[in-house]
Amino acid sequence: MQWLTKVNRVVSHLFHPQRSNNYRPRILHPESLFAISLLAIVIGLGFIRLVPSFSQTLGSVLGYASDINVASVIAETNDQRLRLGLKPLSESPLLTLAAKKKATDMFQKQYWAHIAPDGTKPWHFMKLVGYDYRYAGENLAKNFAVTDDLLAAWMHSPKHRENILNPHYTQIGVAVSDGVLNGVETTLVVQMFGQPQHVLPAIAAGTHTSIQPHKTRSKARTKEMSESNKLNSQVLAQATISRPLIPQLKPTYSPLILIKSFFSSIGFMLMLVLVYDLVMIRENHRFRLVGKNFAHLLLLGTIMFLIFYFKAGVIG
Amino acid sequence: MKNQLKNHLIAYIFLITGLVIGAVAYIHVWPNQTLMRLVALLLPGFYFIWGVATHVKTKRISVKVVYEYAAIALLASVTLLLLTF
Repeated sequence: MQWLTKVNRVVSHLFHPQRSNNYRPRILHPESLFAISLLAIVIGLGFIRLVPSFSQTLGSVLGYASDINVASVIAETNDQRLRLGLKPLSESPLLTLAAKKKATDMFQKQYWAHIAPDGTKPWHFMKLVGYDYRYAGENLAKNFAVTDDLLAAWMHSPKHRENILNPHYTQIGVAVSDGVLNGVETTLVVQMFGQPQHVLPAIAAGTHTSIQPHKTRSKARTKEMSESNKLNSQVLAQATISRPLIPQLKPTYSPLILIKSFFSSIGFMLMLVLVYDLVMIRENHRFRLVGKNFAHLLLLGTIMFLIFYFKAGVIG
Repeated sequence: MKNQLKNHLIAYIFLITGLVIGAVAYIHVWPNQTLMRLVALLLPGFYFIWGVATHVKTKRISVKVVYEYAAIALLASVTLLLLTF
């Protein structure tokens, strides 16, 4: 029973205003708050850096679960265009293939950027599949859970919005790929836009196309991103749209969820202690030279709100 | 607490306004990580300055009070920054 008394003493010292802690719960003392901040940094960075190292053991438990698919991305992109009176984009199998190759390249070389570490530019993938473009553009995104949030993020960013609403673009290709990026299961979305040099007939999604190979000499014209296309181009004999049929378990936890859970618990605990401290001191009519509990509650309440509101997702 | 609120009404209105602006800014700049991190530093910074200023004004300041506001602001900043990784 002695241990119970000791525990009671420690808990009271930490959470109850009494003489031993100068009538301020120990956990609200600056030293304790600094210690909690340090612990938060260590644990937070641990979730971000170290937990992915165990991803092989945890398997598909760790990662970002996503309900995004190619059709919904294209549909919502065209919705945005139609709202502003722009023509919808038609799906290009070549651009889709180029987007797929870009996503695969990012997973293979483990990078997240428009330009690869070896200097490979997005247009390389278009040229690789034989897409002879007059205008071209690319949007990237990762770790989004739903298409609505993804489009909202792109539309919120001037450069990405410019791509989506560019009147010069007539075709689009989208790849939604799952893989492991920096140790975390990630959903990458690559959106490629273009206007071909030569107008091709509109192709329905999911169909096979058979195009006779031919060489064309194309002149450089006005390009997006100051890219010129003076290379001879060869159209692929066949372009297909496909997604891997490997069934994948949806990840359960992401580093973000772990961080949010951890900080929410800390935040709620501190808020409860602040309220308890306020009530106790009011009842005991004690004067203390300490920070304002109500102000601390307002700040922590704001942080809690932002933690709950915060959505996953990064655009590039 | 009611007396505290009454005596420092303007200060609390200023605080609430600043926190609301900070929260709206954090939400508005999503998903721009750089700007979110900037807000994650500015919002707690504002809170620290507010805390110290109100205590200086009421002449109820001590080193421990400054440390307390710094610690709370640091915890808030760390939380908001880690969300952006």
